[in-house]
Amino acid sequence: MRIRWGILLALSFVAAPLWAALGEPEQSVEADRVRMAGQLKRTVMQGYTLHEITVPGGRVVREYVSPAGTVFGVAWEGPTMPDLSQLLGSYFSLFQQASASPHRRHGPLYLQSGSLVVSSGGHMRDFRGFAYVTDLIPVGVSKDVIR
Amino acid sequence: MNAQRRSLARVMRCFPGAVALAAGVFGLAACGSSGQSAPPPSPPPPPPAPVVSLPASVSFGPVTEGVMSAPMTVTLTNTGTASLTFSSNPALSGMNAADFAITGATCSTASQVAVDATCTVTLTFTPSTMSMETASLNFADNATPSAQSVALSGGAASSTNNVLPVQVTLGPPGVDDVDILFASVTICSPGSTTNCQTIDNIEVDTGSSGLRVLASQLNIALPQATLGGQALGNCVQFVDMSYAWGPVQTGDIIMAGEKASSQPIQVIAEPGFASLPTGANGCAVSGGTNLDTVVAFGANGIIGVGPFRQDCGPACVSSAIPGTYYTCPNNNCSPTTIPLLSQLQNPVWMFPQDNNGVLVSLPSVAANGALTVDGSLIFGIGTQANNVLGTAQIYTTNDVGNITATYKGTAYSGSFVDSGSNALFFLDTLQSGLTDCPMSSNFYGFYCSSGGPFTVTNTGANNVSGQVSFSIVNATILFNNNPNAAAFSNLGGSFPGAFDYGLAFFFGRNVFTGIEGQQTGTVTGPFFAF
Repeated sequence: MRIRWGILLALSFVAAPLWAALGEPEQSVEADRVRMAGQLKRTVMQGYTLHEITVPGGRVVREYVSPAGTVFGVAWEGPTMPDLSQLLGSYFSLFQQASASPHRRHGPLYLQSGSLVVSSGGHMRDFRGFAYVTDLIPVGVSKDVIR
Repeated sequence: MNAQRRSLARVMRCFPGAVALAAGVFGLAACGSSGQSAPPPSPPPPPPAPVVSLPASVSFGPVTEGVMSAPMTVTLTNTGTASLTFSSNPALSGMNAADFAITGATCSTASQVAVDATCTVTLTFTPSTMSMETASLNFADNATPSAQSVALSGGAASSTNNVLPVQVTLGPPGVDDVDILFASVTICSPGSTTNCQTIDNIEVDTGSSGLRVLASQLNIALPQATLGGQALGNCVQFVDMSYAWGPVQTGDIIMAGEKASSQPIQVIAEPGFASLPTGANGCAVSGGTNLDTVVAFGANGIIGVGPFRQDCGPACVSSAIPGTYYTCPNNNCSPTTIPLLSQLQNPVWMFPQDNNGVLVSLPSVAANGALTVDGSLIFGIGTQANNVLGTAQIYTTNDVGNITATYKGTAYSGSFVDSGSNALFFLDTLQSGLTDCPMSSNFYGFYCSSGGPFTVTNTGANNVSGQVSFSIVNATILFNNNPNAAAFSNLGGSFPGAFDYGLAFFFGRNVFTGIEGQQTGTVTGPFFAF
């Protein structure tokens, strides 16, 4: 029984990511909350819905969902770095390619590649950043709300 | 709040004392039962009254412990329109009042101060401790309000050598970074004066706390730190997604004449220690760089002398946070909660003296950069003649170490000062009007156009505000015209929604970082001052 359950879980991992990520549907947010063992607060804003997950240990992750039900932006703050491979989803490989470019910059990370924008900054005790896909931002919503 | 103040003012106007003073001009109509009566035709001339003018504060320079300072004089001026009389003689109060003394006063109950005349109080200061001391000088008289005070502060001079030479260079062989500050730090086995090693090329970082060294550069054996009998491991993550892992070992940290005894030190990439924790509770940041070599780290280690006492602080006391501290029974590591004093400490607050913060003092560099720069990391703020605040303003930070920077009417509340950032990182192309270097260029990450001056108002949690101004030069011009330079004061890069005043900001400025919970005069850290 246990084994069969495990196989089912593994299959569902293949079928769809269990976390909310850039470009993923809104339903994934609840799974994200469960995975982070956090508390979810949902607020309807002008032109989008804000899901704010508060994680024990002080991290806050905000996910911005369009009326069409797509996560168009994510933002985070807390004492350590979040796992960007999970928050950026399918955009993570693009992010990795761009951030691997040779450079002498030491400090906050900022990158704009195609329609993907990622900023990761702050300092010890205060890691904060955001990512969004310009093509996915609903009409009438400013990119500056994603913080 | 405003409404409350307004109503209070109304009550005050109708207070019997005020009525008596105003009656000659006003009559009683203004305070009659009808608050709606017509205003008087012209404002009344104020009744004759004394007004006291005093300096807000007096600061004694560093004085040798137990030795009386040279006298300082406080001058009171009556800028009012009636004579001032004292209801009691000037007196001292406050935490360290016993170390201050009034040695002479012409301000006293024995005489009046005529209009535009002055009187004086002469004070001395004899410090009994090595920390900053405060008190206040109080006056009681017939002015309104009837009490005034002057904040007094003073510090004992430490005779300890508190100056650590620092350099901006391209770093250890193979690194070739710009705007990184380095120093040599001595580590000893706890209590030993012989089992010691001085390691050069340690990055000086006012944006973190604690000493971290690459195991490959540490030649002396230090004892492993434990928590609950288990080996203790530490993870550090940086905002560019890089990270470093290794055991916590215990050593004495010596910089100039200052010593922090038996401190937790992170030893990075120690071959014999438990391997890097990965996965959901891991230290590794997916897609980030493991800083497990000198070239990857860009230094032989890092000394965090930032605004906080510990690296993680209270958050790690209450929660086992992945990416911070781990206990490793049988080399199998999992996140742990950890008491404050078992965490990596900013070594400065562990010094017996000069322990309230640091001053980074670097000279100006020419507009086209400098090959190298020599400067000083000075321990203590206002504790010796070489670390007084002078004209620097104190901006206290919020609980995570940020101040607010306001540019063109927009406030950016997540702003900070950090010698570990290697440029002025601020805003984005839309907000700054500058352009980013293309991703295909060698200068990617910096601004590739020139602009400024950018005039920014910084505001602390203490509501102190002040302006700074800086200009940015195209990174292509800087790097191509002076390819071997290690120091640039005008190098910039994007950082949307905030100002990160990196090392470029420090040149030609005295930049102070005050540590949380430590006193500098009447101010408690954390703060930045410049």
